[in-house]
Amino acid sequence: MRWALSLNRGLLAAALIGIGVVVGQLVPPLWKTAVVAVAQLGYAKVTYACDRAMREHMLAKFKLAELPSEDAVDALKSAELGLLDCQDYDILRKQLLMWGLTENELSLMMLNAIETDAKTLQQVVEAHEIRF
Amino acid sequence: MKYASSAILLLTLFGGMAIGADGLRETTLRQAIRDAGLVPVDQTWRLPEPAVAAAGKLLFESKELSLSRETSCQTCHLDRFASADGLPLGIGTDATGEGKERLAGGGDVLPRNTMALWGRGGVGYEIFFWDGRVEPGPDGIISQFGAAVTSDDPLAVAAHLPMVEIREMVPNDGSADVLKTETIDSGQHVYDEIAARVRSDVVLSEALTQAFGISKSEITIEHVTDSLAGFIRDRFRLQTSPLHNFAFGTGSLSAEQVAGGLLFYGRGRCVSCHSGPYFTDFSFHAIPAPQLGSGRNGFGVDYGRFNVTHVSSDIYKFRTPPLYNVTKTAPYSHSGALPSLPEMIRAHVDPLYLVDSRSMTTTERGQFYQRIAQWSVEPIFSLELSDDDIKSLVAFLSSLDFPHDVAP
Repeated sequence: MRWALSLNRGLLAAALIGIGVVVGQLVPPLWKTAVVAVAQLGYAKVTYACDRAMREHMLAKFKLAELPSEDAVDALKSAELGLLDCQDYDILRKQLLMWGLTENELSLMMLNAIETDAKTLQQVVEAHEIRF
Repeated sequence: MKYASSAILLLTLFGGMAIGADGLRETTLRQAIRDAGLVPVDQTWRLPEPAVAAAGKLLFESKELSLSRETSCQTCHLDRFASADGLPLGIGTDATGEGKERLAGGGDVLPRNTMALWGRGGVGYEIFFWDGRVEPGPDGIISQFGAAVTSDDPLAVAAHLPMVEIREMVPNDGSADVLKTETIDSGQHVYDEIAARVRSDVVLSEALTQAFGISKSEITIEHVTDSLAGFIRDRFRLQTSPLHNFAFGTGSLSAEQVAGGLLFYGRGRCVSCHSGPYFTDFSFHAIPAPQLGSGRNGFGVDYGRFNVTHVSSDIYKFRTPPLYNVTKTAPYSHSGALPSLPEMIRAHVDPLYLVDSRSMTTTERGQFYQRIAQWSVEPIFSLELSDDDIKSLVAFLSSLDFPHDVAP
């Protein structure tokens, strides 16, 4: 009787450990999938906004170098304020890392953001080709 | 439940982000506001003697200043519309009532939208009307009066003009055909008539004699216009807005207002024209808002600043309007074609969004293309603003509101 009880306890413990292992394997991917699903749209928006702000800042700097003027200086100042959009991007990125996502998942989210509208191979090519 | 948990996660993710960013954003915005020239409102005031302002108030409300005794200044500058008239285009003579009531009965429609009066005549505010037809020049004030200008105060000179504007305060019924010669002498006929009326009006003349220490027989049109200028400076002086409290005090703005402010001074480039204490650079710019009505040049054409300077690069340009109480002064643009502030902002950067080109005549399309050509050299040409961006900008502009229906 005592032997049977010990056996049951052992089986229960093994079962719990097994369940724990299974849950431990399944939950992190599920959790990450959920975080990615919830944050994807917002991440896409801040990624685009930061990219745009950086491009506009670069253009404003080039314009000032080409044709120095008070207007060009003002335009550069405005573009510098626009770079605050990149702070949104940086903070969200750090928060997603805190929430358990890795650089791999963040890269995937960025790819999804860039290729949201890609329906054809040509659009994928356009997103990836090196331009100069 | 699924949506609730998503919402909680979103709030956690994005709420945390906002909290982390607020200090830098507010500090940056505060600095940008100051760099763009905002000053405490009392630095913009040029307050008149109280007796002059009091006489001006009576004159502002008096229909004696209209040749046909139909309209007063107040007819189109009403407290309930934050000193504008609530109409796309002003309606002058041959109409009754206020606001939309004036649309009934076929009154005389003016070619341009009635501007609000906030800050007019304050320190540094010396260019008037949509096309800047009164402005200081190197040798004195430039206006329709030429060398015969009788005042060194641009606001007082500007106050002369509505009284001789056909359809505004002069009926278009043949009774003032002499004005159609558009000479200084023809205008003087009207001024003489109005000055005579004021001299014979017990209340008005008493107020002016007290204000200027003169006898009734000495009252001239210049006393009338000086008083009007004094009243406008007093009643429509800038008052402290939430933005002033944010920039110079301990006031705060909502997160959406801060976001809109950063757009205004940053990526939106609004500050390239809407700068300084009055949120205007007092310069002239082309915004291709739809044209409503006949326009100053007729047939739906309004050349704006060009009508004053005859310089071809000034075609379709209008003076940057100030922005105080702008949320209360719809409709917008020089011809009042845009009923809401979001549409007006959209017209600055994305004018095609607002027009149905197929419903336009070839003339209208041609005019539109020319306005777009002028707009293409403006700093805000084809900027990308989302609907959310525009919502934030409107929220920011609401921080420029202050009480509009009570005297300060």
